[in-house]
Amino acid sequence: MDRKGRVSVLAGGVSIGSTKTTAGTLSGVFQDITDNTEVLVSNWHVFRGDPGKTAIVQPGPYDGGKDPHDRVGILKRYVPVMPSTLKAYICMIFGQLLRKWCSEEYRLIDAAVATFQPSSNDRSIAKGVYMEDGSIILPKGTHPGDGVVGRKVWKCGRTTGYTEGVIVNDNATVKVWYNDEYVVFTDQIVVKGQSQGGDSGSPVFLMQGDQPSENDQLVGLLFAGSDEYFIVCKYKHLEDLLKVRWNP
Amino acid sequence: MAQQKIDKKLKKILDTFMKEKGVSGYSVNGNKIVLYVDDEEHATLFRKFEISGYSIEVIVTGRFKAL
Repeated sequence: MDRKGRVSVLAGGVSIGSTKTTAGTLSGVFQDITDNTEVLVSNWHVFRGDPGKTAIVQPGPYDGGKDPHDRVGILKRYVPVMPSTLKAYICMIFGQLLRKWCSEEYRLIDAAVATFQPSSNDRSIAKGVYMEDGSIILPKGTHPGDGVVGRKVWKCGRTTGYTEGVIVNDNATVKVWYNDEYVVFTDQIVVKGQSQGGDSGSPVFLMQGDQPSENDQLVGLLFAGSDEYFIVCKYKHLEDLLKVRWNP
Repeated sequence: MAQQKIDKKLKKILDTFMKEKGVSGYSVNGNKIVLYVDDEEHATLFRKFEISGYSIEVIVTGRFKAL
């Protein structure tokens, strides 16, 4: 399937982004625990913008998505990744005096939620993730993300599509670069596997058998990577901090 | 494995280590510390790193970038 193209049914694994970014991957349709609505989820740096204002387009702007023609929703909320501009300014001036307050905060997730408010009535949503043949499967289970070293995983992303990998660590503290500055994340899953720019937001599933199936479990969201490894923030932190559920 | 409570002294050492150029991350599993580094050059440098009571493994992961 063409993951970079416009789809009428929104499900995980396709290009998406806010009008302020390039393109990433739609993690999927989740339930918002705060109001029981169905919402779109991806990484903060894919949905970056102002809550209540910034439009989300599918495909992402880099793949030709434009507002309002391709608008599918509005950024609803996110878990902060970067320090606020005000804090950065205060720390730049008073950093020595406020050393403890200004010291680096470790993050747990890079994730955001958008409403589903399409600009045209030819768009709908479906739970699950697009496979390479264009079918959508819904792995029904979830896994908190602890105790999974050595487990096989699969993901579907906008750029590299379906790939498999193996979890090499599930409690890593890692430095993730956002252009020329980095943020430290802790309690992360490290996977030896393939990913590239645009795969951010890919849902990552623990594989139960030899092939992807509905028995697999969502373990987290891919949000960063290098040539041979990618980083996954854990599902348990998505529920706790972003207040969303995969398949209630 | 659930997130391991790290000794305060060790955490301070590892937090300082995270500020070093070429370092991508770390994990602590019992008495083993795994250091993730950007490239082979930094791997050579950090293979000399010692922390009393812990064995250290250095893995070249490359730099982690938001994708």
